[in-house]
Amino acid sequence: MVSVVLNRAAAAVAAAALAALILLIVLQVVGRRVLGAPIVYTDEVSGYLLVVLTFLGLGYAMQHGDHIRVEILTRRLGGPALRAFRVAWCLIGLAFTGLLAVRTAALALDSSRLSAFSIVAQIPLAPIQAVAPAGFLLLFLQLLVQLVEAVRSRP
Amino acid sequence: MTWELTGVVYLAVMAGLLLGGVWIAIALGAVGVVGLLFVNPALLAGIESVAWNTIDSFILTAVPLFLFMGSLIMNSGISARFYRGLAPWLSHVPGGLAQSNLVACSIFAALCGSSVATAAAIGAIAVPEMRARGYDMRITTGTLAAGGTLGILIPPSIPFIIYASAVGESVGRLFAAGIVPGLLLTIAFMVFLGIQVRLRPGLVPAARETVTWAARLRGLADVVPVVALIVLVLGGIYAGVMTPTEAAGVGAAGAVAVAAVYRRLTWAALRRSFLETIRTNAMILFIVIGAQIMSFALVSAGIPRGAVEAISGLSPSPWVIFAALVAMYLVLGCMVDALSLMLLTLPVVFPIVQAQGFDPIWFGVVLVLLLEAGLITPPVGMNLFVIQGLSNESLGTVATGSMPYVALMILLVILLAVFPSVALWLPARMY
Repeated sequence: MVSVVLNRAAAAVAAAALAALILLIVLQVVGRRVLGAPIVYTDEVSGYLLVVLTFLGLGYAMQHGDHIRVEILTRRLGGPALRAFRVAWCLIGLAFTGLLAVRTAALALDSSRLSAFSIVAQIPLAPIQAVAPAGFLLLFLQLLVQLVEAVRSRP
Repeated sequence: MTWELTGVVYLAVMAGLLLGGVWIAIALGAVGVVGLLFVNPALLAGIESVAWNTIDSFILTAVPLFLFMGSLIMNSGISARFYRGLAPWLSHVPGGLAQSNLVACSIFAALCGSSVATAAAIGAIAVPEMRARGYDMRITTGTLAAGGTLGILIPPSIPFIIYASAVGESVGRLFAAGIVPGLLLTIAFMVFLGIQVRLRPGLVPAARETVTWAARLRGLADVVPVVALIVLVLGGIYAGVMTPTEAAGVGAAGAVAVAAVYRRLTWAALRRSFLETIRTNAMILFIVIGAQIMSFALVSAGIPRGAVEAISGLSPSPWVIFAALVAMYLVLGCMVDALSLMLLTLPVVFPIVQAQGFDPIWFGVVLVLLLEAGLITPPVGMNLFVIQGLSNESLGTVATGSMPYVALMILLVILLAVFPSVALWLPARMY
C-alpha cells in the first residue's frame, strides 16, 4: 500500500523532528542558563519543528485509528448502516482535508512568490509552510484508502 | 441573519457531525467551514492562516515534549519500578495497594500531562498484582480510573497548556494553580478510601504483608530518581528558571537520562515512545486546529459577543451562571472526551466567564476538575474504558468503583468556588 509506506516515512521524519526539538531546547536551556549565551532563534525554530512533527503525523495517526470520535450512538451499528456511515465519515473527512490541503498550499505558494523569510533565523518560509499541505495530503490519501475499504466491505 | 439563528445552525450541524461519529477534529473544523460559508464565503480564505498560526507556536511545543516524557517513563519500565518501590511505604495505611494506586497516579501525573496515560501506566502494573492478592475489583479499578484523572490536574497537564494557549494565559501560572487542588484531591481520595475499607474490611485482603525497612529502603532507590525529575521540571518552572516549554524539553531529555541510569534505555522503548508521541500529538493538535477554525467562524458570526450581551441583559448573579456551567460540563462530560469538550465550548464560554469577572486562572482549574469528572462518568469516560480494557472487568464494575470519586471532585469544585485562593495562592507567589 502506497499510503502505508508514505505515512510510515512521514512518521520517521516527524520522529526526527521531535528528537531535534528535544536537543534544541536542552541546548537552549544550557546556553541561556549556564553559558549565558542564549540561542536567539530557538522559539522560532521550535515552532517550525512542531509544524513538521504535527502535520506529518496526521495521516500516520489516522492509519493507526488514533483520531478520536464520539461513538456513543454509532458503536452498535452493523451491516449496511455501518457501511453507509463509514463512507459518509470518509467523504466528509476528504472534503475537509482536501480543502485544507489546497488552502495551506496557497499559503506556501504565496510565501514562495514573495520569497518570504522567517524573522529571526532568516529561514525561507515556503518549504516549511509546504509541510502543512503535505501532511493534509497524506491524511487525504489515508482517508481515500479507508473509503475504498468501506465501499468494498461486505455488509 | 441574527446571531441566535446562526448559533442554532452551528449547534445543529455540530451535534449531527459529532453524534454521527465523524472524527472530532474533522467535525469541529467542518462546522467552522460550513459556518464561514454561511456568514461570508470570502472568509474561507482565512483558514490556512488559522491552521498555520495554531501550530507554529512555542507554547504548544510543550505538548509533544511532555507526551514523550510520560511515554518513555512507561515504555522503559520505570513506572513499574516506582510503583513497586512505593508499595512498601504504604503497606500499613488502610487500603494497602489501593492507596499505592492513588499515590503512584499522583506522582505519574507529575511526569505526564494526560489522564488516560496515567491510568494506563499505573493500571498495567497494578491490576495483575492486586488481582493476585485478592483485592475487590471495584476498589482496584475505581482507584485506578479516578487516580488516573489526576494526570490533567497535577502539572504538567496537556489541557492546561491548550487552555492557556487558547485564552492567552500563562502556562506556568496555570500549572502552579493546579498543584494545591491536585494534592488536596489526592488526599481526599486517600482519606475516602481509608474510611471505605475501615467500614467494609472485606474489600481488601485481610493479611497485611510484613514489610522490612530494608525493603523500604530498596524501594526508595526506585522512587528517588523519578521524584528528582519531577522536582527539576516543576521546580524549574516555579522558580522562573525555565519556561514551561523549556522545562518540557529538559523533562524529555531527563526521562532519557533516568532510563539510561536504570539501564532500561532500549531501542525498542525509544522507538515506541517516539511513534506513540507522534500519533497522540497529531490527534490532539488536529483537534486544536479544528477547534480554532470553528472558533474563527463563531467569532465571525458574532456568536460569543451576542451570548455575552444576552446574558448580561438578564443580569443574573454570577453564581447562577457558574452553577449552570458546572451542570453543563458534568452532563456533556458524560458524552464527549475531556479535551474536545474544552475546545468545543471555550470560544463561547470563556467570554461569558470573563464578562462575569471570574479569574481566568481559577476558571482553568475548575474547568479541568469538571473535565476530570467527565473522564470517569459513563457512558463515555475515557479512563473507564482504559481500566476496563486492562482489567477485563465490566464497565459497570469500573464505573461503580469510580462513582464516589466524582462526588469528591464536585466537592472540590464547591471548595474552589468558596475559597478561590486554594488555586490562586501558589501562582501569586511565583517569581
